[in-house]
Amino acid sequence: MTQNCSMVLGLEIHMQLKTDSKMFCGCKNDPFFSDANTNVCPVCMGLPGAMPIPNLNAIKSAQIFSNALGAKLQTKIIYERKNYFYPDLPKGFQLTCPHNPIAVGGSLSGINFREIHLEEDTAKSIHTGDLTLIDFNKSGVPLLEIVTEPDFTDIDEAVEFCKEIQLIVRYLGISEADMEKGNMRLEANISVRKLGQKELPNYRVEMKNINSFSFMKKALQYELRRQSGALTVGEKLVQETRGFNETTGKTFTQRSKEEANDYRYFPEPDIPIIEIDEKWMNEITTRKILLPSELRTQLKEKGLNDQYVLRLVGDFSLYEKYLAVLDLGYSPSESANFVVNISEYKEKSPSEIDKIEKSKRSSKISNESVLLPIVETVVNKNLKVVSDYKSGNTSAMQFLIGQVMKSTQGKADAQIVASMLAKLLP
Amino acid sequence: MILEIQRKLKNREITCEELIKTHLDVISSQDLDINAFITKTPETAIDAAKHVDEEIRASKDLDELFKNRPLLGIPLAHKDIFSTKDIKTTAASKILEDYIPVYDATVVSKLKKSGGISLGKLNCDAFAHGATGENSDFGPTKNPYDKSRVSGGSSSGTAASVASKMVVFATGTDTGGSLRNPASFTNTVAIKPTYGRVSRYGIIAMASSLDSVGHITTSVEDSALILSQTAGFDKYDATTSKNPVENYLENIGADINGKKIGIVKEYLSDEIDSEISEKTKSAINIFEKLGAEIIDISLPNSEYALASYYVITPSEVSSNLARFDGIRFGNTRDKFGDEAKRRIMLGTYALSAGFYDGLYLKAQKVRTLIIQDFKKAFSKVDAILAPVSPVMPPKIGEVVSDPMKNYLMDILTVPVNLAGLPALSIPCGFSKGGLPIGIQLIGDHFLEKNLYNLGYNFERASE
Repeated sequence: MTQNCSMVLGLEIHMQLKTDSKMFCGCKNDPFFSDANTNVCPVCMGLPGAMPIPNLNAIKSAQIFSNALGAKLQTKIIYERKNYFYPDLPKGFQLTCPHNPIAVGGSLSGINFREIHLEEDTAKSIHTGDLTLIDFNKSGVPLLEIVTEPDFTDIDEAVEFCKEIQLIVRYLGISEADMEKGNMRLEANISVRKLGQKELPNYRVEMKNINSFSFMKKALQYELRRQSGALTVGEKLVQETRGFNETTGKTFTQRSKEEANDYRYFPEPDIPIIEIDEKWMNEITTRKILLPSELRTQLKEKGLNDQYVLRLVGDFSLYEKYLAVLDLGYSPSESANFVVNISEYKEKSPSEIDKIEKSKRSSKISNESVLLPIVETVVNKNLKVVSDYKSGNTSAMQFLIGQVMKSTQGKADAQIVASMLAKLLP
Repeated sequence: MILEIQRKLKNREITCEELIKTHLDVISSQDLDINAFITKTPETAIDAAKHVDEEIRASKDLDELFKNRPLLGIPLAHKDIFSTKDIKTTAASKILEDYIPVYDATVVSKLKKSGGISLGKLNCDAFAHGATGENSDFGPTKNPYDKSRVSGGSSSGTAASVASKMVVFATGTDTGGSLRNPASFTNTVAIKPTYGRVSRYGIIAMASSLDSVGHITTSVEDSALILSQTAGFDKYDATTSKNPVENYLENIGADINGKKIGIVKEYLSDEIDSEISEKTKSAINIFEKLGAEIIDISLPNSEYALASYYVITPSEVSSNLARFDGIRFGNTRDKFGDEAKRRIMLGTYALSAGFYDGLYLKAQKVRTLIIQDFKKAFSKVDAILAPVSPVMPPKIGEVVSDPMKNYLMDILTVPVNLAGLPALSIPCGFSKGGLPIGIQLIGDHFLEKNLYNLGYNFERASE
């Protein structure tokens, strides 16, 4: 960053919710795996006369997320029409709740949220040759929108923030948050100001359709350099939407402020105001949840090392497997070792792991006279490694022990093998 | 009329096939001239009639059969903005000339379940925009009482088909008077139910916060019977009420002695045709003779109702018509008629940044005031009596090129829609020139029963 500039960065994160049905109709919510245009009905096709029915389970998922981040749940949610034309928007408007959202406020890692909305996704355009085909399976999928304040001071911090959000929604079980499938989409608003300037810049650059974390990092880094450079030489920066070309590594103008849409928002007459009563509110706020940050602390307290913590917290199914192994009576580090490190346990269920472990332990070979011929064979077959060991390479010993373990299908007592090798190779 | 047909079918005085064929004959002989229908479905109607005859033959308990399906065998037709599965639904606009829905509107399927037999789809102003029926892209519908005149609108075909006995009843919508106005022009009865009483699912939306789904009949009794079938909560329409549906026929003939009927000071304007004013006065006299107490009331914000209506309606229209984007449904947007284009432009303007607060939002505030006016009024009276149209049915072509004149025809009907109230339009006689005149009874939310009770007594007394 140019030294006399500072960055102003805020994010908008879109997340498809994992509900049974779509946001405003009973169609199956499966935008990725079903055949094109099979999960459709008059409502999500925007046929004349069709009317939206809000999916209360989707609203609850959005509230669970909001509540987990300390955002204030709103007691009135009002759906409005965001009017604009696009072939993937069959009604000519998108239903969203911009002015009376699901929740406002809340924070994560020092970044404040402005508001959390719940809207409907658009259909999917598939460009093939000079044809554009439209798959309406994605039309009407519940889409959570998280808007942050421009609180980020660092690009890496923003990337980590997005990863943590991804983890949180997975923990809450409300979204797959898979960037590749488009479950999770990022938008960034970035601008720069002179160091010490208090007020926000009078423009911002919107970066849309960011579909990976590395893309986000590269695009923002480029944009920060570009804007800082411009500010330094006194060039005027303008409000616009910019895209990122991965091949050139540069951003480019997509739409300027003058071309911006006037969305003509007005309340959707077909959806009465959604009032959240006390009983409903309690159902959300008293729900037991586990956040990744809490789990991190818990696992560290159990004495697990950073590598184990990182892997277990980062993969909730792995953590669940760890819990199951722990339940079978193994120590925390033993359990973590099984599920994180041992490749042959990857596809095994906790009870299968237990079975193998028990049989290993009961049939352990610790008799030196049984082990000796095996150890000697390994030494003779690996003379190069032996000489490495002799010249001081300690990992060579690990390799030789490993070879003995392999020849005994893991039944050899590793400690005894180690002392035998030490004796054999002075 | 429906109960009389039921009796004849039960006693085997007529077969359903004969009944349907009689009506199809009326359509054949008259509709070339009247132009009430856009699409006719005689073959499916005759098949359905044959099926009904079989059912009647096979039934061991005819009373039970007709109790469960009170509209069994009754010929009807739908305004062409009701989605009908596999049957063309044009909204009387060229842009939907070839559109065939894949589903039935809730009311269409409810009426099927009740035994009704549809003879086809009815003409109207395109997308229900209009008060004369002349905004149809399929030609105007003529008034059966004077074929040089319009039959009102937007539910023009609905009124004309019932008045000329092509069908026993017909469905329609009322967004600002679109059922009451044509009923008053054709000597028929129209119910505009409370907003949320009848499902709108499957009906091509005009202005979603105002659209109300009703029907036109030749008698108050028929109207009540049909509403008992069409009303009720619908899981596909989030604005429908869960209030239980009443049997509107029950106590329909109860004495109305002591009922309080309000007369709105602001509605007694010089702008209203003198013959209409006169007939309204005679109607008031009839109610007085029946023992009703006539009370003068005021709805002080009435003068702002039309302005508010013509901001809110085009705003919602501009958004509702966006789905006809030229990509689907076969035709491009140049096929929209002038009135649709006019409303799209007006509404887009009213919702635009910089104008929203002064137009749309302000109109909504006026709407709240109008609702409050009515609330106050209904603390004093059981119903309000008013003329329906300020003018007699215009000649075809007389007002079509003057949108303002056309809009002014709605002046006495739109306040009801803005407030979401129920209203019943009933005939109250004829002008010297032989043209029908109607009055409307306006009730408080979900009190259609009161209106039917008053209307039924009035109908008997004025016979």
